[in-house]
Amino acid sequence: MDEFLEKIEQHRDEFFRFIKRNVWDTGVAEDVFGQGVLAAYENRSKYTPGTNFRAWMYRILLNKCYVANRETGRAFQSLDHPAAQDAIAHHREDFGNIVQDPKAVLEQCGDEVYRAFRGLSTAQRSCILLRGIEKFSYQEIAEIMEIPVGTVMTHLARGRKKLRAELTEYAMETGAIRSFPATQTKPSHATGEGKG
Amino acid sequence: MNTKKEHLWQAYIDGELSATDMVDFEESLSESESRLLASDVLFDRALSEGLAKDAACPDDVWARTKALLEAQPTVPTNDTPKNPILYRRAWGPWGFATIVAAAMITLMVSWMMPSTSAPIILAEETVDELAAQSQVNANSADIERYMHENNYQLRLVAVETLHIVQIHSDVHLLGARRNYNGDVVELLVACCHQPVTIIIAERNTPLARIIAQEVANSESDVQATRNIGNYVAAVVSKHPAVGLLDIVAGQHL
Repeated sequence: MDEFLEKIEQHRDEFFRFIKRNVWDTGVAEDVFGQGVLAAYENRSKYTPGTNFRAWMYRILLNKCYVANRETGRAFQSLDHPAAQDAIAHHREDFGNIVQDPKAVLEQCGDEVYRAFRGLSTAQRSCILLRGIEKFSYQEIAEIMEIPVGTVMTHLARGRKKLRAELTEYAMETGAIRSFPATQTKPSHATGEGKG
Repeated sequence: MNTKKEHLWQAYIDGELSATDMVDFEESLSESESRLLASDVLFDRALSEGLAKDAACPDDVWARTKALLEAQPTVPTNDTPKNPILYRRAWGPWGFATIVAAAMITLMVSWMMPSTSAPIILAEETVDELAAQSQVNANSADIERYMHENNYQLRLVAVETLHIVQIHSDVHLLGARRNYNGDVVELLVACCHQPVTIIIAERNTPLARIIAQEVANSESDVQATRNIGNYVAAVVSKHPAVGLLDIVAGQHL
């Protein structure tokens, strides 16, 4: 028991952070954390020492998040609503041209970043968290989430695209950035359009 | 942007490409695409930094969780037999062999069954997300061919003739894929604008046994199973679509 607790305690902050960024409500996050750790304890005989403990734990915590999100429902507005889809359609291609400093824009968006992140699906959020913060490989994420690697990449692509579109729209509305003309003259080193 | 390019894009952002592939990908991009990619790299880094902040586990939460674990029973109590002599006589050497044999059988069974503490849940939450995972065109002929190529000798019933179509709306095939480390084929279906998969596994395999158990798990998305010849098929979705099991006709001769 002590050894098991030590392992959990070593990673408690990252486990709690993953849950909190997935279920959002602090009270729910605390409950899910407790349930997840207890479920891990009750199933500790299924963990093989020497294998990836973090990945094993995340699989358990992720399923608790799925259940919690299903029970509490989507209390926030989904990024699948028509206005967000319009934003995606209009600004998807402009993002790189109009945002010179994404970090500064995100800082100015403040809590809107969290609101936009909440609008993603649990699967999209989880992929972004496991990759962006916890630095798991695509293969490890696929094993944690029990989905194909291709699905992991699709979740990352769509989640990030939705966030960029939503936050660019918000930043423009609040004046954090200004729209640039659709075409800009700049020194071109390219020989033409890419092969893509 | 097509799916392959989209995937390469993400792999570039996440450093999952080899050095050679990175160079090849960079060279394939137009100037505006290069700017967008550079911006995406910065955006993702800034997003991760922001999400990592201010979310550490509070000390009181950890203290409560630790107390909860410490209150759990650790090892079963060992009651001393009241009559040690009778206890020894009742078991003797044959009894000991029985225990050892039972333990070995349990060990073999647990080794054969892939351990999982996670219920089977459909990860994709929209029809578009699920459709993007298909490894084959979304029509019966191509899906049947895909199943046969993967040694699944099964035939599909025409969707429009299924009984479920009379009750549900917009039922149509999205394609098929291999899943669970390639151990199963899944049919991908849309029903009432919701994603549904039909897992097909060979009977008498560990995964088939897990699927059978999942039906009783309230946290699982497995709604129902059906034996079809040498296979077991299961409907997996948050949307009630048990009738879609009729889509698998039986063994192809």
